[in-house]
Formats: sequence, structure tokens, C-alpha cells
Amino acid sequence: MSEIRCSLCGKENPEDAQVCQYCGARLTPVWQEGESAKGLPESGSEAGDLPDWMMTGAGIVSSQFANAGEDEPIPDWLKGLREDAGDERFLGESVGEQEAFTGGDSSDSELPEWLKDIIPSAEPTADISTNKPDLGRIQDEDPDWMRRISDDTSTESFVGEPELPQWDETSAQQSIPAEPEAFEFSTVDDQPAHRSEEQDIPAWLSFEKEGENIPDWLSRSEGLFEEVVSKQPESEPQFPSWIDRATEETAANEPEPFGEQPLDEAPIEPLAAGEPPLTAEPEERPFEEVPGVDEPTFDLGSWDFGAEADLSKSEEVELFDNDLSWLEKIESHSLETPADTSLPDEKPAPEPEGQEVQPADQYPDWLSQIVKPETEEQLPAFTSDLGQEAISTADLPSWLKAMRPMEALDFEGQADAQGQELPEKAGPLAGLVGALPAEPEIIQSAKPPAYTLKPRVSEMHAEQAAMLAALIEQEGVSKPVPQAPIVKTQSLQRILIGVILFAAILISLISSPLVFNAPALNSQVFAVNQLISNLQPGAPVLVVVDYSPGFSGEVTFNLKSMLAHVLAKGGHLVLVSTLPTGPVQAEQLILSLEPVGAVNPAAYTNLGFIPGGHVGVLAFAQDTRDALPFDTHGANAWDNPALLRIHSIRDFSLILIASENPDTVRTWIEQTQSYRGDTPVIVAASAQNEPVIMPYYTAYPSQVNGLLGGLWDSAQYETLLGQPGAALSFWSTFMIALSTVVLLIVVGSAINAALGFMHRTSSAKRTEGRG
Amino acid sequence: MDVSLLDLIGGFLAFFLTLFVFSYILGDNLLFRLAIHLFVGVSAGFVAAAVFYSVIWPQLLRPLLLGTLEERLLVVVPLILSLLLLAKAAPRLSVIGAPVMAFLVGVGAATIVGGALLGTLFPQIQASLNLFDPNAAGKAGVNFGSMLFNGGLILVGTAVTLVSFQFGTRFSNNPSLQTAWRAVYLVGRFFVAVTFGVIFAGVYSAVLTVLIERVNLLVEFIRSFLVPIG
Repeated sequence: MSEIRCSLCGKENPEDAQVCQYCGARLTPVWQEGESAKGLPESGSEAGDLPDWMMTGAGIVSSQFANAGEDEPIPDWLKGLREDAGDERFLGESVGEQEAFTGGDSSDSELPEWLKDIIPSAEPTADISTNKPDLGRIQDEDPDWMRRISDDTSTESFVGEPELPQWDETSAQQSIPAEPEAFEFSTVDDQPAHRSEEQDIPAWLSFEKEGENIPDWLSRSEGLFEEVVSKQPESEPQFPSWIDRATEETAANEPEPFGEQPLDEAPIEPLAAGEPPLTAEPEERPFEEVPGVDEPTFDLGSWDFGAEADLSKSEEVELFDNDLSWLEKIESHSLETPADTSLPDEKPAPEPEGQEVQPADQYPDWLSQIVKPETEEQLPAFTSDLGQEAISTADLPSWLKAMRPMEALDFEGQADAQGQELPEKAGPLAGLVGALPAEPEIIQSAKPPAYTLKPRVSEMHAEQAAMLAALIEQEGVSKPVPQAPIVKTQSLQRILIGVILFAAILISLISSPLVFNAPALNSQVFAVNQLISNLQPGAPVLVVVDYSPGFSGEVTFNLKSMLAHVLAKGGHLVLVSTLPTGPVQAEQLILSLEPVGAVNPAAYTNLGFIPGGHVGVLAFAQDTRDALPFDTHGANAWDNPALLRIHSIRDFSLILIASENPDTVRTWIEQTQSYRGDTPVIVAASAQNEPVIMPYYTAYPSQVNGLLGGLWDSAQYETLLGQPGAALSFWSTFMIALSTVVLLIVVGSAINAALGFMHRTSSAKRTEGRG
Repeated sequence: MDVSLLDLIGGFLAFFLTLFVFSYILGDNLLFRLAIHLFVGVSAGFVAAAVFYSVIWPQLLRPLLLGTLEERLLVVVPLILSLLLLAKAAPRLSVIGAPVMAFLVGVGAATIVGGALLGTLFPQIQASLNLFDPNAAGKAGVNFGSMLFNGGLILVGTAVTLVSFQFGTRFSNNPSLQTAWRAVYLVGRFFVAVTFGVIFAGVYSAVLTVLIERVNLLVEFIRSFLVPIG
């Protein structure tokens, strides 16, 4: 069982399938279905089944070609031309049509010889499915001389060029041809050859049998056709002069049969100037210039009727045109312009009056031979009613309208009437309206316009953008850092000064020179000495050790001499501190007094750390017992007999504040101002805070009764006591170091002044030089 | 010379740490940083221990654990306030310690302001006024003339110093007044310069004394080893 290959998806389907099982595409043409299919004659049916006019038409063509093939053998180049034409026509045919055309039921005996050549001998479906093999076969079968002719005359499709003409390429690329063209092709002369036996004659074609219901337009056409045939001269079929001349020349030059002569050796002469070119129509109106034409309709114009221009000049053609005006118009419109798609029944061509029918010499001779005998014998009924009435507008049934040629359809009008539902232009459903689209509408939507992303920048904006870009670029560029000198002057000076000072101190300490005498006594040192000297034995003396460990080397010089003096007077030392390290330093200070370790532990009480800063000092000044109830050893400090009468800060006989920090000294003076009463205050200060403490000492009434500041006052106090200590031992060293520092300051200032002078002088010289 | 092992270790530590600090004369270096970090760490640890043994134990824990009922009840309030103050360490609980901190700040500010007024401002104002009081000079046993000079000098110095800190261009349209204003400005700057000079000299004298004491420590340390040998 043979299978039908779907022209859309290319898959094979059963022979009796109407639609493709895979893609749903129609496998058989529209006209084969329903009533139309029944009306078509079968290929193997007898002549009596066909209407007379159809039989006549078919017989005309077949017999003529058969006779032509028997009596006058058609040259091979013409056969090849027909093969090409037939193949080219089949390239665009649908599968169903191909099958019908080459159906196995059709009898080959009834087919003319040239039609047998046209019909593919074997596996038509394979050729249909793939057009390339056909084309290749066509190319292979083209004789070389034909190629040369085509090259010389610049003609194309007629001589079967290896390269298909544009319209043929278009049709070859379209796997699904338009249905109306197939119908048009089949109605001319090939219908009897490809009608199956199962197909019945449609109702509209069976009017000959019934002898009634013949459409008016068809009746007129029959009459016109008969008239045309009757007016044609009864003569031997004559080929065009150019064909005759070519045949004669070929026969003269080569006695051998034309088909047996190698075509490459045949001389080729150019066509005469007055003769119509073989490819006049395709060249003048190429198919690629006709939009909307899916299937070329060259058949009638190329080999069936010759040049249409000649037909339009002859009366027979005019009449024939009137008879088959819709067919001729369809063809002419398909070749000229698709815009004119008016139906023949809607716009009947004007009937020429008084115009003589031109002789049929303009036709090809073989066409004249075809028309003349057949029209006389087999078309009496066709021309029975000719000229009785004008062609009226035919009322075509809907199914026939659906099969109209694509060019005959008014797509625009239908689109307007039915909205956006346009009839299908291609495929098995071509011509049908309202078919579902093969692609969803969303895919068919127009591509959104592409907007350019290039901003519209004015010159000012461009300049500003350039400036901004330059600024940003400059931000990223690192500026060169000036290279630092290898030897830093400042570091060198610091090292030089340090070495000089360190050497001076070291030499002074090692040599222990007594270059400098003890300083002269001042009033504040005398005041300290007097206050301590006035202490009674066992008098409680509050000693505030509030200097940091870093300044212990300076403050302890003052404090040691005073504590030693207090202890010498029999006073009882009560040690407190607002610094956490103060109690330890106080303990270390007592232990370092000369003679070392000779201090009686009962002679002093270390109450330890007073927390809270100002508030702690104030609390201690208000109530010493509650502020510091225990000593550093954890014992009840106030059980000491020397401290039994101590309840507040005013109960102390002397307050001795040792600190290098002026704020600490001020805190003690301020917070104890209201609670100390007449208790004298002695400050053992550092040299750096002595100027700040001095106003409290010089004021009247004074808030500080005695002041020892720095090594200078300590040396004086030791001198006053007559007990040289550490202060006097370091006095000379201190003076040497201080003198060195003064010298360095003077030298440094001199150098700085000299450099400044030189710089100013050089600047002045440069200024003068420039001026 | 009897030198114990603890003194010997202490002497070595003091010697080398002093040298490490002196190495700063060559710039910031590892030895200097080592000495500084060591001092900071030792100071922190020492302060923590000193605060515990000087404050927490004798004034909080000891009365709470060993004290009488009255002492314990009295300690409960500072204990609660101390615990609330510890909440300041946690950001979410810092609000709890805010009242305690407010109490401390308020009491501290009041104490400082009161002490400054009563201990420094009012007495110093009184002392400045006494400089121009002959009776005060008599009671102090000081020549009134010299006291008046000192008082005048202090008054002028204070006035021109305050004037020198005025910014602007007053009397710019009057050249004579502008010159006088410029002279006052310069005198005020002179007093300021003298004050800073004295403070600088005091600081320099203090650190020089400390330097001498430190170098003397090095010398004595080295000498303590050299004397037995010699």
C-alpha cells in the first residue's frame, strides 16, 4: 500500500488519509473532496463519462500531441522543454494532485506521448517530497546546445536553463502550491489523464449529460469557442517560422535525426529580429515582480497559447477571450498584476463589435492544428449558444468560489467585510476564510520598534561631561609625594641635643664637681622651715602623696627633707593619696628616709587611697574617720593614740601636700578651704607647677603657708637644715645640665637667626636680581 | 654593700627599662614600646589590686561580711548603686546605671564648683583686693609700696592679657587709637609669653631633675658593681 507524504511535515500517511495524522494538514486537495471530487472525471473513465466539451478539450490536446508525435515527431529539445515545463509545474503541485496526476489507475495508453514524458515514471511522491532531485534531473537532461541558446539569447525558463527561473525558484521553495492554479492547470488538457475512476462528474460539469443547467457564461464560452474554431483556416498545422527554420537548418546540416545528433555539435543561430522570442512573456513580466502569486501560471502562456500579445491582436483570440475571459484574465492578471483580481463573471470583458477576427497566423501552428480539427468534430454543443446572449454574471456556488484562483480573490474587500480574517494564501487551505492560523497571533505581532540608546547631548552638556570626567580622572591620579631626605634634620638635632645633655649629666655625676654653690635662701623656704620647726612632738601631720611615679625623682627631694624634719620634731605622719599608686609610693618614701629603715612604724600611719577625686577629698576633709577607716594593713587606723583626737582635717597640725600636678594641689586647697581652719598647708611641688601654686602662697591671706618647688628649693632647704641630701648632691649636676641647656638654646637661637638672616639676604638678592 | 637578690633584679629591671625609655632619643622603636607597654600593664594591674585592697574590701566587703547589722545596712545602698553602675558596661542595661552616673556627676560638679568658688575664686579676689589695701599690707608686714607695685603689675598684667585675647580690628578708622590698642595687645602678649616661659622653664627644670635622678640611678647601679671589683 502506498503512502502519502505530507507536504508540511514530510511524514508519511496512509493513502486514504484526508489529513495528515501528525500535523493535521490536508493531504488531498479541496477539489477532490465532496461534491467537487465527485464531479471530476476519472482518469481511466471512458469518454462517455466526460462532458463533450471536456472530452473535446482533452481529446484535442491528447490526440493532437499524439498525432504530432506520430506524424511529425517532435524534436527532443521540445520534448525536453515539455518535460521541463511539466516538471516545473509539478514542482509546485500538491501531493494529492501529484498522485491524481500519476495515479496507478490511469491508463498510460490513453495518455499522449508527450504527457507520458511529463508524468514522472516512478516514485512521484519521492520527487515531490524533494524538489532537488527533479531539478538535478532536469539539469542533467538539458542538452548543451540548449544551454548555449539560452546563454546567447539571455533567455531562461523556456529552454530549461540549469538555473531555474525566479518564479520557478519561488514555487520550488514553496512546498505547498496554491490550489486554484492546480485546478486551472487540470482543466485545460490534463484532467482526463489524472482522474480516477471513483471520481464522478460533478453536478456542475454534468450539464452535458443532462442537457440542462448549463451556466450562461459557459454557454457563451462554447459558442465563442466554436466560432473561433470555425474561423480558423483549415490548413496543415504549421509551427512558427522560427521553429520551422530551426528545424530545416538542423535537418540540412545534419541528416541524422535530430534527437540522435549530439546537441553540442549543433550550430546555434541567433533568433531573427522579427520573430517573437521564446521567452518573451517571462522576460517581460517576470514572476518575481508579481507579489502574491504562489503558483506560476505560465502553462497556458508558454506552450499552450504562445505569446499573449499575439493573442490579443487576433479576432479569434478576442472571441476566445470573450468566451474564456475569466480564464484569460486570471492568467493575464497573474502575470501582470495581482491587484486586478476581479472575477470574470463580475467584470465581463466588453464584447468587441465590428472587429474582425485576425487570422490565426499569429498563433503557433501547432496550436492552430490543435484547435481546428477538434473544434469541428467534438465541440458542437460547446458553440451552440454562441452569440445569443451576453455573458452574464455567474452565480458561483460557495465551494466553487473557494476554489477560485488566488488572484481572483479580493483580499482587501474580504478583509474589510470579515474583519481581520483574511483567506489563506498558501497551503492546502489556500482560499479558505476563517482558518485557524498556523502560528498564534502573539508570534505574528509586529516586532517592537528599536529605539536608539544614544542620548541627545548638546555641546554644553558634552563640555560639562568632559570636565566632570577630567575631574574624576584627576582624582584617581596620585600626586607625586616629595621624597623625604635621607637624614632628617630634626631627628639629627634631637639626637645631638640628647647626646650633649646626656654626656654633660653623666660627666657631672661621675666627676661630682662642686662648681656651683648652694642657692640663696628665699622666704618660702624659711616659712616651711618655721612651720615644721613649730610642730609639737606627736603632732599629727597629714602628708598627701599625690605625685606620679615619673616625678618621684624630683618631688621626693623636697619631701624627704621635710619628712625627715617632721620626724625629727616628733611628729606623727598620716599618709594619704588620691592616686592608687600613692600609698605604695608613700611607703617607699618613708622607707627611703635617712637613715634608711630607721623610721619607727608607729611614727606614721598610711591610710591609703582616697577614692572619688574632689568628692573624696571633701569627704576626707569633713570626716577623716569615715572616709578612711582603715590603714593599708587593714587595721583600724584611728585606734592609734596619736590619732585619737583626729576627726576632721582641721585636727591635723600640719598639712603637707606633695604633687607635681597643679590641679591636684588646687583640689586639696579648694576642698579643704572651708574645713581646715588654721591648719597650715605646705606644698612640696615640682618645678613645673610651682608658678601655679605661687599665687596661693603670695596671696593675703595666704592659702598655702609654705612652698618648696623643685630641686632649687630642696637644695635651699637642705642647706637651711644643714643636712646635705640628694638635692645638694645633684645641685652641681643640675646646674651644669641647666647651663648646657641654656647654651644649647642660645646656640640654637643663634643658628636659627643666622639661617634666617641668610635666607632673607638671599631672598633680597634674588628680588634685586629680578628687579 | 649588701645587695639582696630582689634588689638586684629590681636594679636590673630599672636599669634596662630606663635605657629602653632613653632609646626614644633615636626615635620610636621596639625597646621604647616594650617599656611603655610594660609600664601600662603593671600600672593597670597595680591599680586594680590597690583599689580592691584600698576601697572594695575595707569599705564594702568587709563591713558587709564582718560588720554589724548597722554597718551592713549602710553598705547595702552603695552596694546597690555600685551594681547599677556596673550596668553601664552593657549598652542594653546602661539605662539602669544612668541614675547612679547622674548622681555621681551631679555631686562631683557641685563639689568642684563649690570648691573653686570658695577655695580659689573668692580667696584670690580677696587677695588681689588686699594688694591695694594699706591695712592688709600692714598686717602682712610688707611694704605697701612694693605690694601696690605688685598689685598694679598683677592688675595690668591681668587686664592686658585679657585684652590680648580679644579678636578683631577695633578702632580701625582711628590711627591713634589703633596704635594704642596695638600697644596694649603687645603688652598682653608679653605677659602671656612670660607666663608660658616660666611654665616652660619649670617643666624643663622638673624633667631635667628627673633626668639627672635617672642617670644617677644608672651610674649608681653600675658603680655598685664596680666598687666590689675595685
